[in-house]
Amino acid sequence: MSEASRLLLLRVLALGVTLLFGAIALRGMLAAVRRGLVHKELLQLFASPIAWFAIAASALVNGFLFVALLELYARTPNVPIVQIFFSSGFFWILQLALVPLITMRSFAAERTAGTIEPLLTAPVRASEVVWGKFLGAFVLYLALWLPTVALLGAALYYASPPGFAASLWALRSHGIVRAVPEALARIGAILDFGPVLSAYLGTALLGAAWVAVGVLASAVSRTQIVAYILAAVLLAGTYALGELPALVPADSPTLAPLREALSGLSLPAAFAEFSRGVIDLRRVLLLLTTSGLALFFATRAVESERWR
Amino acid sequence: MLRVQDITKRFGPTIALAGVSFEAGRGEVLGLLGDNGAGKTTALRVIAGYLPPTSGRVTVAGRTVGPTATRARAAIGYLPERAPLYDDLRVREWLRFRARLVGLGRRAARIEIARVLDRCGLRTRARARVGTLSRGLRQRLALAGALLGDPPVLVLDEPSAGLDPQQVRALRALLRELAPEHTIVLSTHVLPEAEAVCNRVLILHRGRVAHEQRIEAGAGDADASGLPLRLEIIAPAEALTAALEALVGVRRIERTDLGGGAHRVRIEPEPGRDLREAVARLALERGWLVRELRPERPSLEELFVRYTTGAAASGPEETAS
Repeated sequence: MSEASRLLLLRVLALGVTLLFGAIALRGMLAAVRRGLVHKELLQLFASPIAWFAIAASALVNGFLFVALLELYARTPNVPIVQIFFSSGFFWILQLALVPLITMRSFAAERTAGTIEPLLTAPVRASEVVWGKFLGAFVLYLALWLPTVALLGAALYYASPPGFAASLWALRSHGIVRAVPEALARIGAILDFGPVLSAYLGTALLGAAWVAVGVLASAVSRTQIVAYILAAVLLAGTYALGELPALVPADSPTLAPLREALSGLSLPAAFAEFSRGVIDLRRVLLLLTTSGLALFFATRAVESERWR
Repeated sequence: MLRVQDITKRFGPTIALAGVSFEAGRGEVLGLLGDNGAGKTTALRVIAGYLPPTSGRVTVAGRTVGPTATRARAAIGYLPERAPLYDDLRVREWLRFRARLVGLGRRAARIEIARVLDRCGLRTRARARVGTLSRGLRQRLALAGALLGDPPVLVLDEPSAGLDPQQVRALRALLRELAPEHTIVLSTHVLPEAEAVCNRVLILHRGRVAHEQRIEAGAGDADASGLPLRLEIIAPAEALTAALEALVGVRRIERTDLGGGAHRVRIEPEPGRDLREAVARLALERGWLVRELRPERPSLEELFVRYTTGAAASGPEETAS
């Protein structure tokens, strides 16, 4: 077999596997939505103060960060603002504190209240229950980032020439089909969309992976506090993986491949790319695979709870 | 409908169930009785599919209850012990969640929720937060949840726990109404309740079925064959003793003098004989006044005490830990 055909075969295989797992995930997600599991998670999350606290904390920290970044930007205008945002420790500390907060109750609270019993004796699969828990927490995670859209709007407002907002509003007379692309084009002239969108994508992917790990932590914990601590430790661990390449001696040519492979696991490195507008498929797959594996193990943990 | 085949359940060194088998068909209300720790809740959890049996099998309508057996679980409406509910949801939200969980569509769910709210007397509380409900209301809500989708088998762990006397009566009426179309297995330690609603009870003791008892309400009272009689009568002592001992089918009598010419007599018949009419005729012929004449049935309570204490010595041994 030639090199080219071997590579093609490998790609087809990889695509097939990706599609297969994607289909399985989609099926589980749809079932969880249809059975009302996601709806119930959201009802419960937003009935508790936790969700509102997390959103408020996120809005507060991001707001302060934004103001600080604007100050910095005013002095050194050439630094891309999105990059500073992700390279600052605040982003990671916030994530590390809030993700366990929104995932800790998912299974641990059901266990404490005993509601896990009627849940698992209902005619649903354990995987569907896990998907419901995951999607509920993930939607809340996404809601944490909604306030930053307003910050983006504020940045745009101050960066734009006087009368810019009014000129956008005036476009409405052109009808929606022509007005929207025109408005986007004018905004694009001031704000670089690429890094913003890829940064949001990266944030969403990181959220998927970390929320999944948090759900796994909750699935193996008896109380919410244990779930929080376990999730925080695991997540800090995934962040610390990024420090591993620094431990490999840089001057050794034989260890160079190892160093390179390890740096592929680095979350800060991944975000340095996302915030530059670079979407590396390997980074995306790593985060998606982490979510998938964590949810798979969470399902096994829930099943073993029932069938021990 | 429901078949439990020789299930055992161990938790580490503890044996919670040591080979329990029974069957229950449509129209049957089966009560599990037993002292605390006899294995009632464990048995119901195994039947509902929450705990796997260490050995043995549970089948519902021919389907084995198991980890992936969502269809077998769909046939069971389960009310767990202590009625665990989500306190932060409203009554209707909780029922809607349960309805969709058992696979009902939106329309069907709406109809079913209205039905179970009515049946469990919760119509006026549909908007209340679950966490604010009293113990009895929580219990009824959990029962309402088990009834959603009208599953043919109902597994109820202490359905009357926390209910006031009025609600207990309403529950009994509901169970009687459901009985003809369903298979109901319930656990209780309230013996009059078991007598009132069950047509069969199993007395569990140390993880085994110590005794099985049919309960025939009403119709069963007509037949008193083989049962000892209790008689209170005003008659001369010697004549009474002699006459009773002379009756055909009497095995033994015990007479107690109550004073004033009155006597209490316990008449033990030979097996299978009903002596009530013979005793009544004798009293009539002699002109003796009868105050009371009734067969002595062993009460469920007597059976319960007999099988949960007497069988203690022969119960399954717990392996030393």
